[in-house]
Amino acid sequence: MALLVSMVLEGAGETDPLSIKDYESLGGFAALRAAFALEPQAIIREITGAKLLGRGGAAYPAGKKWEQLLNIEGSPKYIVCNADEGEPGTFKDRRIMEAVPLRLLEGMIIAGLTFNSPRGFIYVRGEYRRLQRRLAEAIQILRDAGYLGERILGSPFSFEITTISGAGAYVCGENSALLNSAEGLAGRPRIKPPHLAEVGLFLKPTLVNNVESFANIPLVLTMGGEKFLQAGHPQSGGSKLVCLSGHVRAPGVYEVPLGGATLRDIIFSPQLGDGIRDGRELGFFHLGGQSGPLGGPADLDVPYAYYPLRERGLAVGSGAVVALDASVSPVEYLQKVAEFFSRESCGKCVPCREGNKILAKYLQKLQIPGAWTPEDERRLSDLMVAMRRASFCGLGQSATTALASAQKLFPGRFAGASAPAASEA
Amino acid sequence: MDRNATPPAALAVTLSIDGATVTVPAGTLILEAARAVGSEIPTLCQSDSLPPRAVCRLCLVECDGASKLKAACATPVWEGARVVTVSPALRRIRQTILELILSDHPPDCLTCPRNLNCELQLWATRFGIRALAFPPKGPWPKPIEDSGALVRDMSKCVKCGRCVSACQDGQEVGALTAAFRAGQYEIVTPFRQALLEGPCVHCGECAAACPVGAIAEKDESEAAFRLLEGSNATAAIFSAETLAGTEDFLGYPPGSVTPGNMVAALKRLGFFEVLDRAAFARLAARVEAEKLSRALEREGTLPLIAGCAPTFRAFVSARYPEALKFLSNAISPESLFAFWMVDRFRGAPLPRPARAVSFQPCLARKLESRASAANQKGGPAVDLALTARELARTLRRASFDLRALPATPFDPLVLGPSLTLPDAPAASPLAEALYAVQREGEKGRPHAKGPGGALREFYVDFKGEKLLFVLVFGIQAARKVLERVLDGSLKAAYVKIMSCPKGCLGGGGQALETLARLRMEENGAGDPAIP
Ligand SMILES: Cc1cc2nc3c(=O)[nH]c(=O)nc-3n(C[C@H](O)[C@H](O)[C@H](O)COP(=O)(O)O)c2cc1C
Ligand code: SF4
Ligand code: SF4
Ligand code: SF4
Ligand code: FES
Repeated sequence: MALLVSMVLEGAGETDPLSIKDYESLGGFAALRAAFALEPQAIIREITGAKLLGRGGAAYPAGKKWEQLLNIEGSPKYIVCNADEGEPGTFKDRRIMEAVPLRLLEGMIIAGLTFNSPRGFIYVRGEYRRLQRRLAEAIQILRDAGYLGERILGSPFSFEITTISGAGAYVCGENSALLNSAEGLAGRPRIKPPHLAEVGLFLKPTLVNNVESFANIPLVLTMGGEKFLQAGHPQSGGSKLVCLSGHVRAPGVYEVPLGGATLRDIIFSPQLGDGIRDGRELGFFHLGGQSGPLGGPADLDVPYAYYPLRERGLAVGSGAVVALDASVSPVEYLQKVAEFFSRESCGKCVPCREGNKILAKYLQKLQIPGAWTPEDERRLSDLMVAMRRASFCGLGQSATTALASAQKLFPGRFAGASAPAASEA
Repeated sequence: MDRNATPPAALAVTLSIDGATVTVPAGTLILEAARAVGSEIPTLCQSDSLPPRAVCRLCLVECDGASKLKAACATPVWEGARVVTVSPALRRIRQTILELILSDHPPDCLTCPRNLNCELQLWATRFGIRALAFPPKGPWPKPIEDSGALVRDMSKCVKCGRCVSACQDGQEVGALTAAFRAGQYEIVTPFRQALLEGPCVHCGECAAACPVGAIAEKDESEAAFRLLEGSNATAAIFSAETLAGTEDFLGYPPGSVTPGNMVAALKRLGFFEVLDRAAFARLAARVEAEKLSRALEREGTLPLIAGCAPTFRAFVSARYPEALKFLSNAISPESLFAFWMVDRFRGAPLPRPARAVSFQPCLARKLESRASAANQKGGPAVDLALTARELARTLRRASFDLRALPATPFDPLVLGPSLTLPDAPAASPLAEALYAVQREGEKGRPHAKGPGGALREFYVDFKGEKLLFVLVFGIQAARKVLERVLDGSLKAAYVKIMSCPKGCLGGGGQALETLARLRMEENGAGDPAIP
């Protein structure tokens, strides 16, 4: 297998992102045309067979999500694309929207067709001003060409896509907070159940998928679920856009086949990250954004795919890979992570709002020589459990993921071992 | 939920909670089902009869052995569920949550209005919280006193959202909201406008909903003592609803303190005369009857709409300005009492100034009192308007057994020759009918669940016609009625609006014990005893 593939990003940088002709020359809209001849169940069967896992971070099987929505009574059903891309270190949705926006839109139109939906919405991160305009342009071009709007390609199916945008809060990437924000309410998560498939945007059944997930849909249909699966890992088909940043020599967005590259390939291969800058050693890396786990040099040979990473306590998440050189103190790094969460918490539930504040204090205390006590150790562990298990939404639930992985990765740096060391001094 | 009634099989769900099997109607929340088997799950953000918010996370329970916990306050039961409400892991999580709340909470219990009646204090005590890893340091925001009736000490706020829900979901007034993020997350008025300037009706539903000492009445019981020290001609009025709340607050069995005992108690505190509020309510109904009969003669002014307190006008101005023309400038029993007091002591050779104090489970009354900056009318007004809670606190300080005091009759309401009552109209059948409606509003609605419970209709014979009188409980129902008035679909002669959804008995200034009892009665939980 090659380390790099060109599936979701095929044509990126080489074609005009707003040219339908360019897109069609690469097989664009073949999937949509094919979809018109397929029953919704058949479309979903391909997606399920492709083992396409949600690319937004939670890795929920797309086929299952679509199946659930299909089985729900009620109309209209809405199609929502999560383009909030708030996870730090993640910038792959931006690349898709910049370079291959038509692929994303085609994916959404196919979703619209599958659920006989009248409307799709793209919730674009507030800071992506230019992309909002680009998407609006792309939508207009598709409308002019008959791919969007009334009676698409002469069929009875009509579908509109609108871009909307929030004010730029991390929590608005959580799908129910996103829908609240889209409705003009405060961007805070909703109580689930009811699930969004049942009670979603404007209280209607709703599909929420990530940009990259939608952009994979045309590929699944043109390749067929089976081939798509073969292009990736046996448990998760297709490719993954990796957002590589930190102390690597060549940061950027890379498309790797799932399971076809290891973390070592991603960070060190000359085709990808090309190693650590300034001749330094790799210290550790952070996967999937601030809500993801840390890994170290011993994890480098794990294949980059959902299940192998999960078995190691790691995760693909959003696709972020932040490599840090050995000069970075993990405690200081995690302090920054904790500050991020204590700033971005929506504030409504206790474990997250108050917990993140206190977590940041523990991380400060860890840096004071001799301050750490066994009592702190016990309480920090209780705090981490409460935040993970009791927080209202994924933000609070995953705010301690990085710390928990660091405790394993650097035994002694975050644990009771630091107390005796300090008392010896 | 009725423990004894067995729901029909199709609508019934059987599950196990802490090993006990229970069958409850489908849709019952785990929290309610757990109560039925005697498992009390800690809660802080949940309040009966309002939609769940599930933000405090104290009520999390284990279900079907899964590691994912569920909020008992927001999760309906399902067939065959196995729920565990007590486990070592849950205990630790709950304790940690309480510690987190206390890490950002001033340790001010001894000087807090909710000391000994605070839900946070209750759970912190039960969980035996002793030391905190990071004790709260402050600085704390200063209490906000922008209403004359309510004080918002947001340093004590646990951000449970109960007040917001009471105001938005319960009353549909929307004077409070949650704003900002993370550590700045805060309960505010929209755009931080003063409560007095917004749509707030000062019903005090927020204060009644607050589990802690963050939103409370402006406590004027100390001012009452000072008033008594400075005047030997201070008169008081109280109502049956106030008496009921005082009993509950002080722990007397319902009905065991008579009005006569209360009159004696107030006299012992130093009140010169104590009158029955009902006497002034009757008088108020007579004034109202005059207005109504005039409105009946004019075209296009019906229905005459009377709020229970002047604050209702603020709400109508803010939300339904077109309806202002239907509003009656109803005079309250408290104002009439103040009028009467001016007359009562006119020319009397008293060494000390005459003062009037009213007691009612009502926060809006405070805005009518002389003590309130909001009262700029300058006309006669009671000097202090105290809630039932403040009366109970005042009496608690005096510490005598109310039941042992010799029953003393109310002082009579004598309409003197020089009485300056506006017109002092005579009693009439119309006035009697208005008084009856008023009394129903004060007594509240005992089982008010469901939308129908918020409205009551009365037909009154008047000059051969049947007039429709509508009694409305709560602002949510009032909004619908106002809309019907405005679109012409409500053909009523008179509309009486009680701002409080449960009337005066369940008013925002009522003893919390009484409110809890009413809630239990409303939920049909059988035993109305106070826990
Ligand atoms: C705090 C938080 C932030 C999130 N941010 C994003 C985001 O920026 N973009 C995204 O696609 N998904 C984000 N998610 C995941 C979404 O909730 C949701 O799972 C996803 O949009 C579903 O799409 P997918 O199944 O296609 O991945 C976030 C989740 C949480 C809890
Ligand atoms: S975990 Fe709670 S406070 Fe944090 S973002 Fe989610 S709902 Fe808001
Ligand atoms: S709100 Fe409750 S816990 Fe807080 S100071 Fe007042 S009594 Fe104590
Ligand atoms: S003021 Fe009271 S009811 Fe309102 S959120 Fe704060 S603690 Fe809860
Ligand atoms: S009572 Fe259920 S989360 Fe607060």
